[in-house]
Amino acid sequence: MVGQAARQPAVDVDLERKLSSFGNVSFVLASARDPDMPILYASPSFYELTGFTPQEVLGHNCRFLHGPGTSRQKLMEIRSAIMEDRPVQVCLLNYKKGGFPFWNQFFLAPIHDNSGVVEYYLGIQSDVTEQVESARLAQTHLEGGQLVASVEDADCPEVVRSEESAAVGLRNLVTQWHLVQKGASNSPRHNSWPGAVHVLPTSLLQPLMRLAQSFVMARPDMPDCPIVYASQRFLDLTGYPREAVVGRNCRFLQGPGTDPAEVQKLRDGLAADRPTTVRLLNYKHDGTPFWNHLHVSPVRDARGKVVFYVGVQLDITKKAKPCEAAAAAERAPGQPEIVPGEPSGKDIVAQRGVCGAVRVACRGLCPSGLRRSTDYQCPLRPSMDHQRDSDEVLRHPPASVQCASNHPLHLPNGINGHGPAPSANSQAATA
Amino acid sequence: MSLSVSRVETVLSLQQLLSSEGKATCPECPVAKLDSGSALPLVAFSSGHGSSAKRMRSFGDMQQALVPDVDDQGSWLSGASDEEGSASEGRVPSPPASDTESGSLLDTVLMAEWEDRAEQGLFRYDVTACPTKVVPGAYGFVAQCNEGRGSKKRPTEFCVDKVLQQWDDSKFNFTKALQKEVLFQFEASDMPAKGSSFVPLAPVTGSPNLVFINVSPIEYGHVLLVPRVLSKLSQQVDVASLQLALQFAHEANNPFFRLAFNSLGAYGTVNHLHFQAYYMAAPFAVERAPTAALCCPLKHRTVHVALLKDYPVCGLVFESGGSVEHLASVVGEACQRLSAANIPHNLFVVDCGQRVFLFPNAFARAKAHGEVPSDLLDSQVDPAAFEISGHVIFKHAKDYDTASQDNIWRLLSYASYTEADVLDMARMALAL
Repeated sequence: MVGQAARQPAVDVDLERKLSSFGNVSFVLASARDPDMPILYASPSFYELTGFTPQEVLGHNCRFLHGPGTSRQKLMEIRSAIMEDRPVQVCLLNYKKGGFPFWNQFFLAPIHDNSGVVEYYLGIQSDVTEQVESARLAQTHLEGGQLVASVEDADCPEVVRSEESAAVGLRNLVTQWHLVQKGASNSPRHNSWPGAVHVLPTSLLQPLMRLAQSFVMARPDMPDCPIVYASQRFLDLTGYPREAVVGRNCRFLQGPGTDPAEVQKLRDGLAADRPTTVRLLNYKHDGTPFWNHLHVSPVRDARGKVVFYVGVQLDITKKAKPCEAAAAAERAPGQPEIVPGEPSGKDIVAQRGVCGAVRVACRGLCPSGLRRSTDYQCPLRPSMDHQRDSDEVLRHPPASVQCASNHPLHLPNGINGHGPAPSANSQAATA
Repeated sequence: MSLSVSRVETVLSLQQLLSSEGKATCPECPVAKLDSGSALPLVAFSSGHGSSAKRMRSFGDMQQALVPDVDDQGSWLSGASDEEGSASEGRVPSPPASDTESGSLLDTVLMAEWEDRAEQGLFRYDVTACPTKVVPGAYGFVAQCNEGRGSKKRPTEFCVDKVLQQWDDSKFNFTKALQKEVLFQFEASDMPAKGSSFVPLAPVTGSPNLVFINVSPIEYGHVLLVPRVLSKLSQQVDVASLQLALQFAHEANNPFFRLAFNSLGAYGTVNHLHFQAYYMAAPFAVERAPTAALCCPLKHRTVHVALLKDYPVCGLVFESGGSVEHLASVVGEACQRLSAANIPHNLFVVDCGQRVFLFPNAFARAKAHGEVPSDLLDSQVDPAAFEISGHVIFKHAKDYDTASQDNIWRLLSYASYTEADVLDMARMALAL
């Protein structure tokens, strides 16, 4: 049903060999630019720690480690880090195969390619159940029968430090390998991703890849409004290879039977920033015509400016009845015997639903979207001034959570700062 | 040269298209006129979904139940166009929730219908054209500049010092809204499997749960869920209505879709039971705030209760151990006790109905006592649930431009009771 299903992304054999010789660390390498961030490689220690088999791990999202006791706040922190293209460390309850819980000191770090786009996510796991349980025990003892218990996080500084240095080593290994490979081969390393320009941020690409409809996104501010993203369904529908789509204007779908008046209607609508629906006779890569019930809408970013057009295709082609076919043949000999059908309500719901989802993603995630500036990107930890008077309302943020630079999350050289990280955030900070 | 040009003139709107299937609709009639002959779109959810099937998330059940995830960054489509059958055949089952490729039917229908109403021009402004930004600071408060909302909002029409007030037919209520503002009915139904289904036009029976657009939206997809609309319930949360609201959030299955409730006295502006919800693809500041667990007796074992620390408004956080019913009953009962004690409050629901923030709201009281500084009152920002949770709508560009973490914190802090007060209220509300 889904075109990409047959091709599972994987790492190169040579890279796999290098990764497997990397010490005694439980880690996974996941693709940031394939749908659902599938795991490409997991270390022997990971299988040992979690009990899962390669079949259950490779090609899957890491969420199989989560379970009923996994803190939702911690998952939100991970989600937030991915949106902000940054590393994060959280200690959360995960589950081994068979449902056995363990406390995981988890470290997630993006690996950027040399153009600054997040290419991989590295996840490092350490079982810190012992430390957490003993900390909890001490706390319960301390609090006795009080209503308020205290902070949940156990501190495992030595574990955190060793994960950080492993992350640096692994990142260097991966980026070095890519540098070496660069000359050798230009073939795309990701084989299941749809067509997208390379600079489209990973945090925007991921929600777009979730949308199981045929659609494209184009940039009206660039010359000739080139396509910057084309969904897998679009490639399936039109038969074009992805490299023949991205960077071009969508008019390549037009042909001799396309009604110029409808095309003009589309142009006029977009010129007025209006969502517009037209019916066009379009042509697939192999020349086969199809009737396209096309809905195009301008999409705004967080500033409220139109930054994309999203165009959602619905194939409403149906075979002409003999009389209609005859009429068509009379007018345009040699044209195929097809006529436009009526889309169902459900088709229209799916079509408009894509527009909504794209709007939400772009308003939150595209450059200048709702992300904190890099100076402030860290999870919040409880302030130290717990002795303050509980009879007073706090009128200012507590000092200890105001300044992120005090936070241990700031990483050793490299992980944060590699490449010209696509800092969509500086804009928000200065706005 | 071109084919069949004469046939392409009419492109129907979604509402026209759904209405054209021969059933009775009356977009311009008030909701009060709905009767047994009327029909509206319907999203039905499995009535068994929240009970036996979902009572505790066993590990095997997890893939279905565990909704928020590291990469659930947007809403996605159910791939509905691939399914066999067409809308004219009636009910279309959504794909099983365990399929990670599939999204939520409710999510898709809600956005599609919202798009349609936007195209019809039913909103007072295009909210996506309002500038929004993250305010510098680790909390990441989100500010929006919305100069259209202040002047165009429905006016508050009742006294603000009482949480429980009698229904008054002369005031605005949702039975007076037009049927074209209704997106769909949201009803439990006896379905064999989990999941939900969409019926383009289904007969209205009894007093339906309706989802309305908010004509003055504060973000994309802003809707109002009105339980049993014709029953004229006043603005007070109980266990059953909260369970419906959590189910709604659960079915939307989108971590960026948040739901809220404002009691009277805490900036609920209509005395007709309703919840609000919209999409925002960023965490709310309160979701980041540190928490401290509260030790609770056994009866709350399946619901994890904590206290917000280091947040401008002190409140309680409830996390579900997997059951919507348990969460709804703990939080719903707490709200009822707060209402009975005349304590205004706000609810904020995140993570697909699995995490709920409850804030006793002191702002109206502080305002009445003259404690709120005049510069804060001048900004006309009302600290209701979404504002308290970290999304602040500024009505003046100058306030938007100068928004800072410190001044948002200061404003919100006037909605806060002290931690000692909140702990007292927690003992009372949780019957500890």
